[in-house]
Amino acid sequence: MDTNLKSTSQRESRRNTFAGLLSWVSLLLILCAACCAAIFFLMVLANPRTLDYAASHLQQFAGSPSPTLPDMEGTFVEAMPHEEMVYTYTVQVISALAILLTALVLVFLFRQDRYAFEDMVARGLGRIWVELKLASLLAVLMVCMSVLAWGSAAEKSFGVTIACVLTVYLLCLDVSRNRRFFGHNIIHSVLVRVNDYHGMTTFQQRAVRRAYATIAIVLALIVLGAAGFGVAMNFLYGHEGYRKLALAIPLTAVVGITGTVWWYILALKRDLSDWNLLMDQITEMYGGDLNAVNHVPPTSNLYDCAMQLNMIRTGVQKAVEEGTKADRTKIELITNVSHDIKTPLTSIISYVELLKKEDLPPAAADYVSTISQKAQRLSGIVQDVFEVSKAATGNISLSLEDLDVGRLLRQTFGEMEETVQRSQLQWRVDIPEAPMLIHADGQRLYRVFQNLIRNCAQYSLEGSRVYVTLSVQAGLAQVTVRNISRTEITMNGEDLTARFVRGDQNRTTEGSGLGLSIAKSFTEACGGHFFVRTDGDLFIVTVQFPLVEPKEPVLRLEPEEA
Amino acid sequence: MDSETKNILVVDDDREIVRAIALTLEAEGYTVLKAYDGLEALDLVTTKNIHLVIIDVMMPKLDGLSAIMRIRNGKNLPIIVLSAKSENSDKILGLSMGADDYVTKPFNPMELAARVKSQLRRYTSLGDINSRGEKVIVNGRLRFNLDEHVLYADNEPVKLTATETKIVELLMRNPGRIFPAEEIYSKIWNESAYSTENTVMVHIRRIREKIEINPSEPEYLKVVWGIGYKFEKH
Repeated sequence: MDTNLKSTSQRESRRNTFAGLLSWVSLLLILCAACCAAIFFLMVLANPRTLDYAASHLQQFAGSPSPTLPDMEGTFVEAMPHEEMVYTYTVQVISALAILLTALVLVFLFRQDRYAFEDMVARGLGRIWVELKLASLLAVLMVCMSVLAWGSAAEKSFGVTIACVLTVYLLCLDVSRNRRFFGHNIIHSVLVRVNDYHGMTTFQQRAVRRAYATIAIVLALIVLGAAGFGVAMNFLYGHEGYRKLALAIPLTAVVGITGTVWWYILALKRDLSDWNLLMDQITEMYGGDLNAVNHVPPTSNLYDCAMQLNMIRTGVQKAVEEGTKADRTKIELITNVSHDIKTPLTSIISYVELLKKEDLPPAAADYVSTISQKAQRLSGIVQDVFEVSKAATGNISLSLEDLDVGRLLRQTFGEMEETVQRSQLQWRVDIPEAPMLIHADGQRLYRVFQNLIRNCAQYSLEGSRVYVTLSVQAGLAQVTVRNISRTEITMNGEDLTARFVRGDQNRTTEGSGLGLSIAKSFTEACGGHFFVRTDGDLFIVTVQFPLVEPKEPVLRLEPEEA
Repeated sequence: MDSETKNILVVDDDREIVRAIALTLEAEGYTVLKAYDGLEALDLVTTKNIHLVIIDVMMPKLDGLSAIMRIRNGKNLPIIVLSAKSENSDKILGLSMGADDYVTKPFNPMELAARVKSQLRRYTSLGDINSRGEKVIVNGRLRFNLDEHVLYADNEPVKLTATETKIVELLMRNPGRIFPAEEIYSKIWNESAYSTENTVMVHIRRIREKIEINPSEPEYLKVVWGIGYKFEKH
């Protein structure tokens, strides 16, 4: 669409066009009448005898016997009895007022229809190029001026007033309703048709538009110059010396202007191509290719800019390399540390198991069982630390596939049935049956929901309700887990997903404090979003994944072969 | 079946771990030979009559994976790998080098003992399964007898309910194929139901408790998250 109307299209479709037209015409009538009255008032103020002049015209118009015209010299002959004149006036004034009143009523009665109709008019106006509008505006102005200049009669001035009122009204309507008043011009339309204009960047579009506008203006100047030359020739015809001069000056001017334009276009073209090179480089670098080569030539105006970009690139490259190196060192450290912890832990667990088989006094057996539990927990923590640090540095291998997140949730609940039953909480699970396909690693996503469910079971207020819902929100599959915390939550959601942070500061409960952190890193590694929000004691976790369209039936229910 | 004592070679550079494993296995009635690096292990394998090897990956002189490759060159005997690395890629590497099983540290000695038992059973009874001419589906340490409708794990019958047996048969007939819950439900219960995931999941979990050595890390009956269930091919 070339025009952007502020009004809604529904509004106009519902309204009656005829009523709108009627109301609109009435409005114009009132406007014209008001303006004419104002002009008349001004004229009366300027010359009081205009009133009499008008009265005689009015009588003529009403068909009364023509009175002797009040001549402008002032010898006024009364041709009509006073009462009769009053009567004629009254009838005409009353009828005029009645018409105006009707118009006023119509304007107010159908104003909604009128708005719709005005929109229609404005849309029609919006389709006209701005050049044509300006040209017609000029034409109206010129006609008005010429009428005023050559014709002296008062009626003409009223005609001019009405024309002006109409023009101004249409102009106001157009400017107020159409946003692209100047944008919709011939150059733009030609460019849209000729070039692959919409493929360009805004900058390129503007540059091209400017170049064409400059060319058009210069061409117009040349034409005007030529016209001026013709006029000058007419005046100077006959004088030989002047004639040569008159020929030489415009010719030099034309050549000069052409040359300048040519130079300007060339320079602009070069700058533009350099800009394009630079922008391509920036786009490539933004797309992740840090090795994008600089093609801007050293003679270009933009060379410094390109060099600075190169320096930024080198800096970023270095930073990325160092980051990768640091990440690798971190991973190696964690791998080594976790290996070094696991080896002695193996011994501890093994010997504790052996100890359990020994015939121990009850107290000792109790100690051993505590050691056994804590050793198992330590083992879990070591594994969690390892996984979360790998996930956080993006070093986990994922097997991404299209899977049904609803089914995954139901499977998770099936798998964790014991935890859910033991939790003393009321679980309100709302998972729609319709498949919701997302692209993720099922095993990791299971860990995410496992951690969330465990988290609820561990930190929820006894007997409270836990709400797990799956829904579609703007193209995203969204899983929301809401529960009431047992202890007061003193930190915000972001802090809770930090590693080793737990809702209860005294850290007496089981768990590594890595559950939410693992859930967050795994979700993000799979391309999802993970949010934690707290509202008083209400704890809300939201996991979002973009939905994917099923490419092919993921599972074919084929007849079983024997 | 394993009335005669089996010789098990335990190889790890951590002497305490070797001793702990030895104590556990000896309690189960096995004879344990100990080695503390790869070369020592190779010596013992060639000189002694070893029935099973438990070997650590990271060791001085000759690392576990190279040792496994050398052992595999000469002998056909079950090998269980011990490793502190728990990544899937490490597991796959270990298994592709010729290991039969993979246990990550820190492990529960009882689980290791169960795995040893399982490997030895398979190893010794592999020969006589095919000779009987029964209609069976064999998958790793599991064997499903189609005539009797009985599942054997390590040659011992597993007590399954009728429904569980049907599920196992369906899945074992199509190893590797993923079955969504609805399909399992419609085939086993012969009716279609609206919400089946939980019912099927409960049965799958119960079966796993019975057939897997470590039910929390199943090797055979696996959940394909968000898609369905499958029986892994071994």
